[in-house]
Amino acid sequence: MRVLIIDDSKTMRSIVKSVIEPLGATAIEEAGDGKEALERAAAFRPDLVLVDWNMPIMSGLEFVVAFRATGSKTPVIMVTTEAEKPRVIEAIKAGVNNYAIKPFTPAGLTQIIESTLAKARSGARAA
Amino acid sequence: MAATHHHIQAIVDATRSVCEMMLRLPVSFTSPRLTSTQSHDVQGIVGLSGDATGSVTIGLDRASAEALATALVGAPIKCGSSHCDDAIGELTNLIVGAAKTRFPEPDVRIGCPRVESPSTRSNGSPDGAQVTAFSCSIGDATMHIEVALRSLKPLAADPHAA
Repeated sequence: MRVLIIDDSKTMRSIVKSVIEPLGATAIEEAGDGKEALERAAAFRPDLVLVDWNMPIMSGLEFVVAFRATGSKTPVIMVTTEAEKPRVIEAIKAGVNNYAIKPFTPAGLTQIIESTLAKARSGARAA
Repeated sequence: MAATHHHIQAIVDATRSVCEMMLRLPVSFTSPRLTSTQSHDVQGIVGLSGDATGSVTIGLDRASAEALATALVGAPIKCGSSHCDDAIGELTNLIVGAAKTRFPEPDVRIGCPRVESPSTRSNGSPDGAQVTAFSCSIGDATMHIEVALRSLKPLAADPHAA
């Protein structure tokens, strides 16, 4: 499984990485903003994307809109402190598959990642 | 309207939640008080806009900054390194981000965190401005939180308003 982690904080990228590594990630790429992530995603072709919302240069929401515009159906999980209902709806409308609210426990984020991947796999089988 | 007990309680609850979930450390708080801004060895600052404007500052001495950065990252971090600054910025972001979802105002936005030492402190956070402040013990570390907020949304009458 190839995973792209997008967060402007190196600390948060390393925390997310420590959660995703035991889940079978074979390759992990990191990006510090949405613009850098779009460039990375084109070459890296991830199987899963975890993206923060509030970032400089290009936000996570802008990234998701641009990423979906490329035709990618790769599952995207928004990992953010933006927990208000209107924000969650905005993110889902933009093409986010699932939502993880910071702060999180490793077990909580693991559960969200596993359920997102399971849903994506069952969706792919049905198609 | 300045910061009310709703804002302070939201920040207390958010701090507790971040410490328990991400740092796995116990936390205890002092009572909030009106004071003036102080200088700290390391400061994480997040600005707010929308229905409530202002900033929340987290102040730490060097040992506390190292202890909390190390707990968040899960590996030894030296104060003064870019990794320590990044960790304190993220800690501030986590606390303020989690707090603003508990604020009474429906639409509050947070900016990206910035980390300052007294030598790099900007004019945007001058010493002497009146703030609501409280401290907390997190494991062996002490963290000072200064709240300088103005609500732009009229709220229902609040007998506890600070």
